[in-house]
Amino acid sequence: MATSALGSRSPRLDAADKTTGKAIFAGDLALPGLAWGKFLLSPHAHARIRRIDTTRAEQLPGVIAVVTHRDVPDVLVGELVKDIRLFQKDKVRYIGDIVAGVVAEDLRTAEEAVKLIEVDYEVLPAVTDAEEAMKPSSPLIHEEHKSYQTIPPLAEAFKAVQGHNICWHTEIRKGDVERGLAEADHVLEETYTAPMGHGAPIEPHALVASVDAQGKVTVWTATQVPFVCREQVAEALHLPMSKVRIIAPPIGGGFGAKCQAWVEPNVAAMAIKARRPVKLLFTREEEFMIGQPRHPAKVHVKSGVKKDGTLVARQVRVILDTGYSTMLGPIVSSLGSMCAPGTYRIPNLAVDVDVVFTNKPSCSAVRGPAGPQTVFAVESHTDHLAKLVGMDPVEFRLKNCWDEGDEGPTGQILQGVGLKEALRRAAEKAEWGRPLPPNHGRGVALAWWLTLAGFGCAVTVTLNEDGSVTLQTGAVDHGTGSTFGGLPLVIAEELGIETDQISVINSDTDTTPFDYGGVGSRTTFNQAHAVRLAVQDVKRQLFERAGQMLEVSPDDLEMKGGKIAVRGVPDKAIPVLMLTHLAPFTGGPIVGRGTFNTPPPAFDPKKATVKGSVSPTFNAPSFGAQVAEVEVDPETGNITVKKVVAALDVGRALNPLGVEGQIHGGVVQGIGIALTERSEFSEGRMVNPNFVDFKIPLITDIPPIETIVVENPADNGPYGAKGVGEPPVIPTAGAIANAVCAATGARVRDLPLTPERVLEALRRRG
Amino acid sequence: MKELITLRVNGRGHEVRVAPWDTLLDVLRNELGLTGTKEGCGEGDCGACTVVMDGRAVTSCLVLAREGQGREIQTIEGLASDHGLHPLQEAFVRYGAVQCGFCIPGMLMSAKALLDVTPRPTEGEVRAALAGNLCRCTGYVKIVEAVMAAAAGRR
Ligand code: FES
Ligand code: FES
Repeated sequence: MATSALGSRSPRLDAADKTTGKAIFAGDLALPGLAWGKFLLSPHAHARIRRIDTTRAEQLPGVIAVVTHRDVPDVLVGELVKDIRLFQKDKVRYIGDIVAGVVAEDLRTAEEAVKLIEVDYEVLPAVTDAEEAMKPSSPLIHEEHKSYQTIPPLAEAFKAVQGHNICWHTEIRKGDVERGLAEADHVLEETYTAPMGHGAPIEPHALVASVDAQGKVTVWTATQVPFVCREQVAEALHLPMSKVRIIAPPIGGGFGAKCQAWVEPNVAAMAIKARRPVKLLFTREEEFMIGQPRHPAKVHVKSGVKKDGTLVARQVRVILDTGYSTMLGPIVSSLGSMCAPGTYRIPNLAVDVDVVFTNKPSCSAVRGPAGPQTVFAVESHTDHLAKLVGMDPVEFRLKNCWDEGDEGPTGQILQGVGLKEALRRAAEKAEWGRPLPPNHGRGVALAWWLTLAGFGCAVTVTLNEDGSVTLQTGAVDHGTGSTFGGLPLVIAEELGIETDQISVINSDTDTTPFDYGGVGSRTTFNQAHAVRLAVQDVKRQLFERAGQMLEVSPDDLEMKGGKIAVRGVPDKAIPVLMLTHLAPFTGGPIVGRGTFNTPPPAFDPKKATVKGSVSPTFNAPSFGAQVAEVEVDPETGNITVKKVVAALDVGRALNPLGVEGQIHGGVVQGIGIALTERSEFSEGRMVNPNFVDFKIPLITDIPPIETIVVENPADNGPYGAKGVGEPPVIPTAGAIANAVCAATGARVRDLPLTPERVLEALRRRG
Repeated sequence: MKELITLRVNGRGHEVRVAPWDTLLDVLRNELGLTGTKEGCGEGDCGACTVVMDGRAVTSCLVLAREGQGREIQTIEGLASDHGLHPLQEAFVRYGAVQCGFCIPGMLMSAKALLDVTPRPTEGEVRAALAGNLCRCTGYVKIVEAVMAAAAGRR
């Protein structure tokens, strides 16, 4: 048996398709009779709709259908809180709110027709700042919030916030924070901010919807969550789920910008009314203006530390501006409450996170949601604490950060903690402590992240007549490599075959089993478990059949070198290939099934009080340490990142090639967050909705990035593995900010670290 | 309003009817079914639509289809030959330079245009040649490795 598949640097199975242009993305699809769709978006941040007149648009030659709220059921939908209307009826709540959809023979006609729809708006005062929106005097963005519905697990926490612009609140209380602060030798209080940013996948949202004569809707969509989309389309359009099929073709990058059901029901409704297949592609401008960005955050942090550097108390208050809809706000808030306190032993802790409606696009769970913002704050703050007590930043962290068996922010007993190893190795590789020229500096930051659990999946593994294998999985491929780079290795390992014998069919709600989606760094963790179980099922069936033929108990058999043999009697054996060839005529085809779900670790209410959290513990957490080295030009304030060393405890690297790729990509996004990325708004309108003004890193901008893969297995991980997708993006901005401060003595407390802000901080420093 | 033009793509001539405003990208994708070339912005900013025209890498979203007449156009679909993948494609596969894959056709065409003129580029030349191609997944590290490996004939 090939036992070396896991841990090998294997190319992903879809790489050849993706290098030859053969991979078919949603926007590449062509169907007979294909028509083109276009949305009419609100030009106002907040307005009442008095009247919508579509007559002129409908009369334009080439227009097939115009869809408004009148054409769809009068319902509100949403994965957690139902506050989204497909096509707006009474009110628009942000610039970009969807008012109507046009279907036409070609895109130009659809674009023309959109302009002919007449909407009579009564403009209302808009609230675009979260702290303004929190004031009791602020206009309500959802006047009917009190009547909104949520899902049962959130009911109690939702009740507490209903009727406000503060649409979610999470809190953690552990120990006695007031007493802890009173007993500290030093208390430090600071405020940090991070702006709205975009995941900015290179592929904008793309959808094709089609309806058959039985009324069954199929939507091909670039989504990370096809099964959630199926539920939402069914709910929004009053269809049974059996009449909704969602197919997620290869996705041109997600990063959380495509991690919730959103416009799928809209495009389905347009195809239903037009009775034609409809393709709708977002322009880059639309992607920026209404696509789902990262929450702007304000982080207020106050800590108490003893003279000897022991952290004794911390208070954190986070405000997340979520835009016009709740969407995944409760999840982001919960995750933020776990990241904001940092990765340290803190006996007395108080965390509050508010999620606030504003008249802006709805934020979503962008890669490591609430992570980079809160970790930038708490890790900058940590450096200041170290300075207060006269300790080196690495030494201070080693003194206070978690070890195996320590308690997390809510009292969870931590397992598989490779944090100190990550920190030590990153510091060593970055030559921490070695003198640097003037205006150069090194900075360090730590972070942890969960591997999302509690949402199940199933897979089937079919052993074909010739011994090759077909895997059917609901897992999407948004680039991370789990589905085409990780899972095949599990099959190869467990079945002793080569990966070129394996084919993967994925993310089609009709032909592949349920998977919750490519979110929360969960795919490899959950899917690899399911795949392993399915292969075991395959083997069980093989052993049963071999046992019958050899007239021995299946328990006495083993699989070796392509044969199933009686243990200790190698001559008494049947080739696996014979069993597979005979399978259709003996016991029937060999199809293995694997189902996996695991609850997150239990939360112990004796250790802490937690309210409004969907994630009071972190399942199979990963631990990361990054060190950045920068040069700052004191004349211009320009920052050059010279090097990043990124160490990440991934439990076990199933495919190191993929793990390194995730770390590289995360760090580079982190550099963008640190230095340039900011979605700027003026009166509710994004003013930089393009790649020139929203500047993501180019190939010429990136420094050498060194990766260190730490392997401290998670007890419940498949082969010990933890999630890898999100963690690498989280510490980078904090490490760079600390490096800038080390280089110059100037602290910038607002992201991104623009030259103007650096100069301003230098002036303040004097 | 539409006009019949001939475009030479990947060594073959195609007659297509195009409107004056149709871009080369539109025609490749929607008329010729060559959807390997991607659209990430339509504004010349992302490089996903890069094709090689008369030996030079160009963003096809900024080229009018009519300007493509009389030129030799190469797209990602023409990069592999009967003998198999182009060395650049092989290196991208082997070095793990591909994640979501959306930027990859453009990256490869920019890299091909470079290697055709500069078979042994420095790393700096590779970065300069790919500076117009955005990738949001890979952090570019393995992309640079792959291009250098292909140029060096490493497998
Ligand atoms: S689509 Fe042409 S450069 Fe982006
Ligand atoms: S591989 Fe996804 S954008 Fe480059």
